[in-house]
Amino acid sequence: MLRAFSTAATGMGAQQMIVDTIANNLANINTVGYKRTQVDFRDLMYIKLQEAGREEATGVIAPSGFEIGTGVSPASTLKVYTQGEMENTTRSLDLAIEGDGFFQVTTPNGTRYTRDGALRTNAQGQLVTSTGYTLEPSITIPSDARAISIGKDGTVTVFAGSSNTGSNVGTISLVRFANASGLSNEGGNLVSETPASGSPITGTAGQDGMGAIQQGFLERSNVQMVSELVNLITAQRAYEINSRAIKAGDEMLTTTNRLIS
Amino acid sequence: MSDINAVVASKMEALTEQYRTITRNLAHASTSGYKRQVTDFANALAAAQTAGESSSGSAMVQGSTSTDFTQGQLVHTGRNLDLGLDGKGFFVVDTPQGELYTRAGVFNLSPQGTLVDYAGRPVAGEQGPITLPRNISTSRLTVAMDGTVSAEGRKLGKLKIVQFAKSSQLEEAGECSYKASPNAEKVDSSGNRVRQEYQEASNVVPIQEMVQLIQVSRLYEASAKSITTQDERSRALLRVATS
Repeated sequence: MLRAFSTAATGMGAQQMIVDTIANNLANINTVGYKRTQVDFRDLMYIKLQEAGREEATGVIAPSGFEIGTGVSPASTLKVYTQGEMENTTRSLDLAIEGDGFFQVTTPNGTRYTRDGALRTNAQGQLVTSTGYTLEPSITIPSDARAISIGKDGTVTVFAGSSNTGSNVGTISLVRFANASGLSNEGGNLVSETPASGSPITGTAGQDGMGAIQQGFLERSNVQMVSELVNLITAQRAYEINSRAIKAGDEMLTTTNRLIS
Repeated sequence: MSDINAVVASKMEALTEQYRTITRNLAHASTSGYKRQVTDFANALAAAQTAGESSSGSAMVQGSTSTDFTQGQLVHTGRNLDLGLDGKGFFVVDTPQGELYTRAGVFNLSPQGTLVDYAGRPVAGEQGPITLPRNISTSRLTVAMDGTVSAEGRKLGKLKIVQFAKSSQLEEAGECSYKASPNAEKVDSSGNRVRQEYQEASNVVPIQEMVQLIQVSRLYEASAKSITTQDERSRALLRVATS
């Protein structure tokens, strides 16, 4: 009986985790480059009470056994990497990646990756993210630039002073991963490489599977509000039902206790 | 007298096991690809008598669990590596201990680009594992209804789908996967359809489980009542005998 309580409790824990994930998805519905999380569950180990195929009596083989599972546990939280909505901001340093790929940034903790292309320039004129991390490799915009044009392949062309010819100041490089879902989430719109994601694959934006860079756009989150709300309602009901099961078990235990009164 | 109590006690034990199965099913209301367990009770006395060995007065209750392989609902998630099976077949996962069969089609890519399950084990294609070339984006991977996996027009392989003649030959291996003996009878699996961007939801129907739960609670109560009634009778008998 008590084992059943802990099984039901893992069920409630699982629904709680779903609710936590949904809450995070909804909180980040307007975050640039945010990818929604999906939780995946598995059942826990089994306890074999009676083996299938045992002999019930001479010559009588039981066709099935008696195995009780011990509950559910989260197997993984997956980031779903579908394209978010592209919002046209017309700001020349807003970049969105259309397709696979990440911007590479240098942080005090090492190289990180992000889909958040809301860039600006720092005091030295380098292109940085909204939190101040420089792009890797670094690109510097001259202080007298009046227009910046960034191509789909990442080439940065600057029009300075009164000149009508642009000069190439560098190329924004993108990287991608064999298993983007395996990247570790660091917060601040940053992800980092792990053994599960594989090492970064370099390439030119817009070619060989790498996404293209769209200037003047920002990629919004890929959170679908309606599905999240439907999942929230389902999780709430499942939580309630699991708690009812615990209550019923409690009543059965009470009945047993009352046998000796 | 004590025999009756023993029988009732075994019934209460069996009801407790059934309760455990119900709570387990309810805990898995949201587990993709989960198949609910059903507890059946058999009269062990009948089995023993048929075999020619009858034990007097022992009507002990025993239970056995079986899995209900009813199709779960296919829910759209939009994730391109979520695969839902429409039909009675199973996806095949290769492990060092042999093939595992599962309905939970929430797959990933390994760092080398091979299609794997959540534990990193390769999903079997008809000609071996299925790998996405490095220069093709993950979002371009498509899975047709017959299980053919392609990307940008290139065929990468076909998912191996296995269907068994008798689902009772499958043994639970944990983690929503099943094992079968190598000579378990297989049937034609071409009727199965693979739906990309869908997950097969758990086939647990909470209402069914709740109704069973009510029955279990009431039967449990009734059994307890019969033990107390027995107890009162014994006391009455003792009073008469010793007065």
